[in-house]
Amino acid sequence: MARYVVKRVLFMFAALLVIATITFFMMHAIPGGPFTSDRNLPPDVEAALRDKYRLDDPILVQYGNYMLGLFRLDFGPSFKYEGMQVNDLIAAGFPVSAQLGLVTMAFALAIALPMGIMAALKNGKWQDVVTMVLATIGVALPSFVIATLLMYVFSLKLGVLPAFGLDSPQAFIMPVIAGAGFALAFIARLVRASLLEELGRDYIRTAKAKGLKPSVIVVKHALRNALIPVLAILGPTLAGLITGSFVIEKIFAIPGLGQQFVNSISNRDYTAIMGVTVFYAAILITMMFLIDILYSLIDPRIRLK
Amino acid sequence: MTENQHPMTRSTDPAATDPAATAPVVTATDPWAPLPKGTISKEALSRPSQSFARATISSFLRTPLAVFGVIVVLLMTLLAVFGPMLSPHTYDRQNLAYVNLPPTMKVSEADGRFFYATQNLKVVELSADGRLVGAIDGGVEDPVKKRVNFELGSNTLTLDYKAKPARFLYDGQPVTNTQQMWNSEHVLGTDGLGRDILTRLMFGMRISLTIAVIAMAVNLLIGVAYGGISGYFSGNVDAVMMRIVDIVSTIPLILYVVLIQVLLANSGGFLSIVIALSTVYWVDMARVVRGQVLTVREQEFVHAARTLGTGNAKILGKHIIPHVTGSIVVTATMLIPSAIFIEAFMSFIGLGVAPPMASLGTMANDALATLRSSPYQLFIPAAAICVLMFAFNFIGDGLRDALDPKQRR
Repeated sequence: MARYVVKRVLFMFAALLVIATITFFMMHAIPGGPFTSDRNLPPDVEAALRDKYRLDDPILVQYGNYMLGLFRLDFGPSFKYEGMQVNDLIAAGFPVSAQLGLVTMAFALAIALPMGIMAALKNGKWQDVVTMVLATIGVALPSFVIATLLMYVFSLKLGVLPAFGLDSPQAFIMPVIAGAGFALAFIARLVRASLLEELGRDYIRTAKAKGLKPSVIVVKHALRNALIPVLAILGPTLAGLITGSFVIEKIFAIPGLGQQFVNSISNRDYTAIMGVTVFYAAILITMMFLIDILYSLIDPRIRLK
Repeated sequence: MTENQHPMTRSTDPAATDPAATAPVVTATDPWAPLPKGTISKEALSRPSQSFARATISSFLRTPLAVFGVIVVLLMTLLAVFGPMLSPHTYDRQNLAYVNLPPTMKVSEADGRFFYATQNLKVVELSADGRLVGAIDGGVEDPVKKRVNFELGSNTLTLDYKAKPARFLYDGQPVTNTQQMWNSEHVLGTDGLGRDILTRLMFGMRISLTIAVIAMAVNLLIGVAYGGISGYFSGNVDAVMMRIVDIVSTIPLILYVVLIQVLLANSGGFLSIVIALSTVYWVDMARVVRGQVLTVREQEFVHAARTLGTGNAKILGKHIIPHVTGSIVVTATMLIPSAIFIEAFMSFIGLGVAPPMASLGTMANDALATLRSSPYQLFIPAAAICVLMFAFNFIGDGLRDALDPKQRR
């Protein structure tokens, strides 16, 4: 176990290193540099800017400085927002995104688990059919389609929900539903499939033969094992929720990290793109790692080597 | 179907294949009564043997949703390929006289002529069968009364926009004779620059499908080659190659795609999206293929081939990969909707193909700004994306079931 954890941590760092390196060289491979694109700067101003951001250093020196900065958790200054550090941008955006992401995850689980369980218990009945149809729709509809349709109906036509921001509890409703769509459908399908499989196993038959109540059989015996695969996909799902938030945050004008990222792309704010990418990657990788560890602690059949 | 249908049970006894001997005997009332001796040959197959491909196809064709998916995809492909050629409009021709015209218009009839007021208070005249006659120019705006006056010969047409929706007055009299009319020139309406949405939709489907298919093909090649080599050589080669895959798959792929897209943005959106998608999404395919190859490579026919001195490339390509086709096909089918999805997603956050080109995602993105006044501009590409996603998902599910012998009935 300890060996596995050490190995995984090393992997995490390797992956982050690779991401940071790829990001750095990609951003520097863009022809023209950050200050030549949109406006015509006087040469001396541009020289001063290049000097300020140390863009005239050899690329390896810049790379070294950037990586050293990363080890101190310093993502450097933003190119477009004068006087802002990329750290400030992240500190402003991330809490908003994290809040939205966690609420979305909680919502998805709260709906998907009962739905999946019901579909498995009523296998083949109308409850099952309805769940599977909804789940197929959820998997096939892109989140921006759900989001814009919701916005059109509930904000523009009915006027009952605010179209942007996260200022009131109602404002969470649409972003959460739109963001949860895919995860919800995916989890519901998985719960159904895995509970159906567990219910067909021998130990369930034994439990039935011993005369246990059906509710005890489902909750105490089958569900415990059936939820293990669900736990395994929570990491990637959470990752999906967070990256999916680019679109949700853009549509609902939520000032989160995803919005920040999209803005920095359209502003060609290279340091911000680099910083937010590395930050995102670090968060996602850490989350997947934690869930993998949790997974192995819960399921004794999985021995980590 | 019974459990013991393995091809190995096939009998060489000619009597066993005699149809008369295999015909099931239906006993009258008692289902538990023993059959008379000799009525059933234990060795016979209960149904004719089928080749794997034929069994797969017939199983696939018995899944209505999957067949529906295939039909939809074929239709949409035909539309995407030939539609723009047959259309009288082009995807990029702008016509600022006919901006934001919806598919159905509420027209007002006055003096046998039909008028439609657009959201930006322009007036378009239509013929009785819904063709566009022309825009009415020369409106004089009266900001105090909130009216626009047009001179039509000796008559005056007035557009009163004090109350929404705007209404027409003809020679001072309110026009009450209104009707819904189909836009027969632009069947799905026009967008914010007066471009025909149907043509753009078909063109956008062409772009989206092309991107998805190219990305799928490249991912297929890279993934199969990578996974095949990794699984076939196993040992250290496998260890190193799979560690690389592990690292790549920890990278949130969407971030990487965005980075490539930003890097290549100057070379035109189409190419960079294709490159971005096809350099990243082979990881899943590589994992699937490697897992399958690892099991197949231990089978006797591979050892036999190796003993006969067959080269590695030939063993892998001719003997092993054909055994893995099933999972490759399923994974590849599922790659297409995810590529369409990612393309739409990228276009939607502003990293799509460059204008005036259209893809389903850019059309949806463009429509967002005018969602309130012209929602149809969003609904149309969104519906197309959904239909495509559904169709490909159905095909993928159907193929997965059809290729899985355990699911076969």
